Amino acid sequence: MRKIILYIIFLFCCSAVSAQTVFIADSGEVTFYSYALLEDIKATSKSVNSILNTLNNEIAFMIPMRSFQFAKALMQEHFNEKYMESDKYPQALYKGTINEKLDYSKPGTYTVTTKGQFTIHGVAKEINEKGELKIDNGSIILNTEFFVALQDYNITKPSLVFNNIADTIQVKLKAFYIPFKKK
Amino acid sequence: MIKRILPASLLLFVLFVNNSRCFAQDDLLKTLQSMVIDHRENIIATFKGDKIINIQTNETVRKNNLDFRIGHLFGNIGKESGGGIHNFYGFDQSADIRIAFHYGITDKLMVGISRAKRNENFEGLVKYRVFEQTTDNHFPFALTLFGNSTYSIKDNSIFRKDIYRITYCAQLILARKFSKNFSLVLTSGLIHRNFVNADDENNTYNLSGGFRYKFTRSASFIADYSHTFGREFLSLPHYDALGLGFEVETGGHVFSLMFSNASGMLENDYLVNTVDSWGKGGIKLSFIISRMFPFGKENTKSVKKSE
Repeated sequence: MRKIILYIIFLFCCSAVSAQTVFIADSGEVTFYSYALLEDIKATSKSVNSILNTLNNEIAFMIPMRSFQFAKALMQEHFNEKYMESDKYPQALYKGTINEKLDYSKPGTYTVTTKGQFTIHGVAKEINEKGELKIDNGSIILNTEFFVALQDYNITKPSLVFNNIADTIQVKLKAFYIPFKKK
Repeated sequence: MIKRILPASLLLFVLFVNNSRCFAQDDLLKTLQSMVIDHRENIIATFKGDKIINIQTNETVRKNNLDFRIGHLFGNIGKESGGGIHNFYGFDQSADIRIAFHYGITDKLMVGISRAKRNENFEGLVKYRVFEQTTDNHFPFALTLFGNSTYSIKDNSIFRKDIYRITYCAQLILARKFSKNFSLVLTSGLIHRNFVNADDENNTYNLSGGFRYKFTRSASFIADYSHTFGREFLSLPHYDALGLGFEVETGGHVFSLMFSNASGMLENDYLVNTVDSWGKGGIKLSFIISRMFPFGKENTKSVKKSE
């Protein structure tokens, strides 16, 4: 009986330890920029949902398309209705791994590379990107910047406004991670 | 025996509990999606403007945006109703011209002022979205209220008192976007005119319906129909207003080609005063030019290129 109790305690300890290795984004911000001939457009979302598993270096993101805020309400409507079709494809998704072996217990700033699958507008693509991880005591800050080519994801722009929207969109993302605690 | 089963089942139980507590390591994305509470979104772009052709939709101008609208209703096309070749099928005339400013105080509340050529009316209007249709069908339709008041400055001896120049309109608007391509609206309301002819009534009730059907990515067919009750006993003939048209979106602008027998553009006018009929060639071409001006701090902030 004592053995079993010990085993139970051991198992609970295990789960406690494994929880410490998982981080979730407490807050974050993602902004994209379109630099075109006639107009510069930018939109920001503060709904950055992300998990980082430091045990196996896996990382995932989920951002609702409707959370992007534009300066112009009409532009936001067009973004959701015509270009991203947010009703049909409500989220931007990413799942990948960090290639480098990192010691997450050591504070510092690390440049990392990632390999994973990025999905927007219902189209999934393998992407390899660079980022920066800032590990602090008990928290992690991720910074990354990458480019998205509209045609890679079957996002078509009407020929009449081709001068207003860039072919390649710049994306900047920042996420603050804290250890995950299940309620 | 029990002594043996108990520890084993306890172990299994703990393992099971433990497993569910642990992360599903194989799919981080699924874990993420299950963690995030599915928050409800409002349905957008049910219609492309505050009106389909004649009737109100659920749409309002969003916060801090000013919509400058010029609506033009040409003359009757058919010869029988005063059109024909000599005024180039109505193009030489303008049955009504409405110049309006609509401003979004919040994302739900819109106010506006306008001036219409017909009856020299000045209009003040309020439109409020009570409920918006949501993606999860928590509200399966949108409910919007519309109210306005008009004041005519027309030089007319029937206006013996200034108060006679005022009319009011209140409407309840129900709209639903059934799919990406099909939206329907029903409106019902009351018009009160302070002064009417002897055979007419001060309060009239109306019921209207309209839809938008998108048949390509940017082109739609639009139609609406309005009925006002108790108009068949008037000495002057009254007709229900029927509007038919096409709507083409070109980037930021919506271009509409609309035909209607409505005699004016204001609710307070066409719902009670439409004397032209489709059957007698009383059809008019109409168009609207709209320009949206965003205001407010976040709207005017420019994008820094060096960022």
